[in-house]
Amino acid sequence: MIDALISFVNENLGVLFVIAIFPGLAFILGFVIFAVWYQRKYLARLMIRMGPVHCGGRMGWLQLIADAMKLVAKELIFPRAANKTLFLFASVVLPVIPAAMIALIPFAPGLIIYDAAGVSLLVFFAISTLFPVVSVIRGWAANNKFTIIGAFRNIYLDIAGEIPVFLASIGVMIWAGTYDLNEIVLKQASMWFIVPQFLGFIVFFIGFLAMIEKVPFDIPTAETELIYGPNTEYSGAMFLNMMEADYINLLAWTLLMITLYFGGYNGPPIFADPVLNGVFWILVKLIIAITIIFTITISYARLRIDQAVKMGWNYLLPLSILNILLTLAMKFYLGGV
Amino acid sequence: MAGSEVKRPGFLARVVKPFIHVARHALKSPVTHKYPFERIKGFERTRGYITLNMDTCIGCGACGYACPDEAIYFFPVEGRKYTYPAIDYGKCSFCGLCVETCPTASLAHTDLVELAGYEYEELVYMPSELKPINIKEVLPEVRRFLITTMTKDGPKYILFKEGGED
Repeated sequence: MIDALISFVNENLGVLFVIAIFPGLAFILGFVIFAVWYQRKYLARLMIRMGPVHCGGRMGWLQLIADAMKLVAKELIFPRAANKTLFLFASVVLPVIPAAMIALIPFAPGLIIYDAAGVSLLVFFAISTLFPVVSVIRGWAANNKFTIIGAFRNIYLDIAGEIPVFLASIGVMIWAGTYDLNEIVLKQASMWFIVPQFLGFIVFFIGFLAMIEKVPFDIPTAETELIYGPNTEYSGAMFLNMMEADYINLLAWTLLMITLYFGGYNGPPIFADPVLNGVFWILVKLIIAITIIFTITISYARLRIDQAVKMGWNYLLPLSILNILLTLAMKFYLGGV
Repeated sequence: MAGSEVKRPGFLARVVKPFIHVARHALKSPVTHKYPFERIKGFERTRGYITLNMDTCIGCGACGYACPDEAIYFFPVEGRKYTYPAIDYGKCSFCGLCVETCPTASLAHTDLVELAGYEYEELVYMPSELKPINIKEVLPEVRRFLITTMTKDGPKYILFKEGGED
């Protein structure tokens, strides 16, 4: 039994490394810890204060690990009227969905968890549509007015944001002539797609902010109105899972944005050094992207749900269709990449 | 309505300006400090805890008349010939009139403000207790002292060391 296990591990060492360490589970959890810490420190800096300082020296780097330990040690409280099975189910499944989306992102040539046979971009969007479904399950199962209102808002926002995002990425698909994220990255070696797809990028970025549910689109979890939206009733480790789901969602969509518009693991075209191509550049781009996203989160006020939905359907959707037509014309006259 | 005359700010003012305004702060240092571990050194004229020099005090009672909060009582002290002021910090508003009035300059302000106690009686300081207090006795966590300076980019803290600034 043990011999068989050891030989299995030896034979599949590369696959297991990719799934368990990088860019798999350990990287995702590490990113969640880093992102929460970075958000707290960076936002504190923007607000001219210090952020966590007491736990782990001046940089407060142990604060998040302490928070996680505190949450894990706490009691799991189920509301009396909740549907306990679905309540637990949603909290366990929700972080898995964005994590499955990350499996399709290429981190370096050949460093990809699941190569979806040439249709990885479509699979990415197919998996992402599960997120609002599980979100409404958690909202309904908790049997609380705040959670159900938050869940409905989540569905409204996801549909208003996801359709423009998908149509904007269709522009990339047409321009690159492929659904495969790895090939899309390879075709950006000489020019990032943000240049030919600038209109599409703007639509994608605004829809992307709606998908990751950060300010100005944190409408489902609006603290001042809905306490914590669909997550209101969660406690302890289930709450930790919900917070993880938010940040893994941020990671997945940010990686998709980098892959579609900013050359993925390619370095900047001006100094395409083959030594540094790969993981280094994607991590650098990731940190720059989340810095900009966190800056946006404290620069603007939260939109109302009707404003966000109106923005999605009235402005982003026509713009994304216009982007598809423009891309077709450019492809027809310029010949694409 | 006056509101109808207000022009709606343009795209730049609504979207770009807030972002740049916020992002500029990424390069600035914080204006807060870690209080129990770092404490701001008081300014020269900070009105804090008041000390009494009983050797020069003549027990005239001028401070008691001057006090607008009636926070100063007079008590005899064993082995001395006058009655001396005791200060009730539960009433004191740190206005500094007693210090100004004192004809022999026996009362003096310090920069100590950490006077909170668990009982009301702890706030009444008898004449013999109005001695200079070392800050490490009331704030044992303190490790560093800071002084504030005003720079072009706003207030800034500088580490204070005895015998000079760092």
